[in-house]
Amino acid sequence: MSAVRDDVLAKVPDDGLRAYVVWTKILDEDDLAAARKAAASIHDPRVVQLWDGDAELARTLGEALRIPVREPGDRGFGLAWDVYLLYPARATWRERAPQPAFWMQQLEQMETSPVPLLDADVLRGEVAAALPRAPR
Amino acid sequence: MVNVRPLALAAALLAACAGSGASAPRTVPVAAAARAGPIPLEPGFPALRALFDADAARARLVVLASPT
Repeated sequence: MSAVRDDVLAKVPDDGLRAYVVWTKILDEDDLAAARKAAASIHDPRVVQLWDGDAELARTLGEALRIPVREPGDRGFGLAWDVYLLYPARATWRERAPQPAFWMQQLEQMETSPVPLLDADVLRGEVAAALPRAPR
Repeated sequence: MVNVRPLALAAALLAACAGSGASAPRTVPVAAAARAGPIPLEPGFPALRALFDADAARARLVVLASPT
C-alpha cells in the first residue's frame, strides 16, 4: 500500500482520479481497529477508505477476477486482496462488479499468472493514461 | 467519535459528488469522510457501488489490502 500511496497517488496529483482503499479481513488479527490504524497513514483527499470486515468484497471480486484458490483442493475462487484494480471513466457497477481495464497483484498463487505483479511505476503509467481528458 | 451510519456517510459523499461532469471533474471534499475512518461495508456494498458510479467521470483505482 505504501508503494501505491508514495509512487502512484503522490505522483499523479490529478482530481480526475479517485482511489478506493478497501481494508479487508484476511488475517486473524485484521479488525476495524487495525484498519483505522492503517487508514491513518493515507492523507490524500481523493482517497475513500472502507472496511470489508466480512471479506465479502474480497470474495466477490475474487470470483469476478477468477482468482485461483490458495490451497490445492480448495474449490471456487480465491479472495481478492493485494490487488490493484484500475477502472476508466464511464465504468459503472451495476449487478456485477465491473472488470478492471488493467490490474496488478501480489498474490502467491498467481506468480505465474499473466496478470502482472505489482510494479508501482507501471501502475502509475497506466493510471496516468486512464485519466479523463478535458475537451478542447 | 460520532457513529456515522455507512449509507448516511455515502449519501453525504454523493451530495458532494453531485454536479461533477465528465468534462471537468471537480475536487470532491471527501477528506472529511476520510477523517471519520474507514467506512464499514454493508452486505452487497451499496455505499461503495453508489460512490463508484457517482465518480463515473473519473478514473478509479480500487485497492484491496490487509490492514496488518
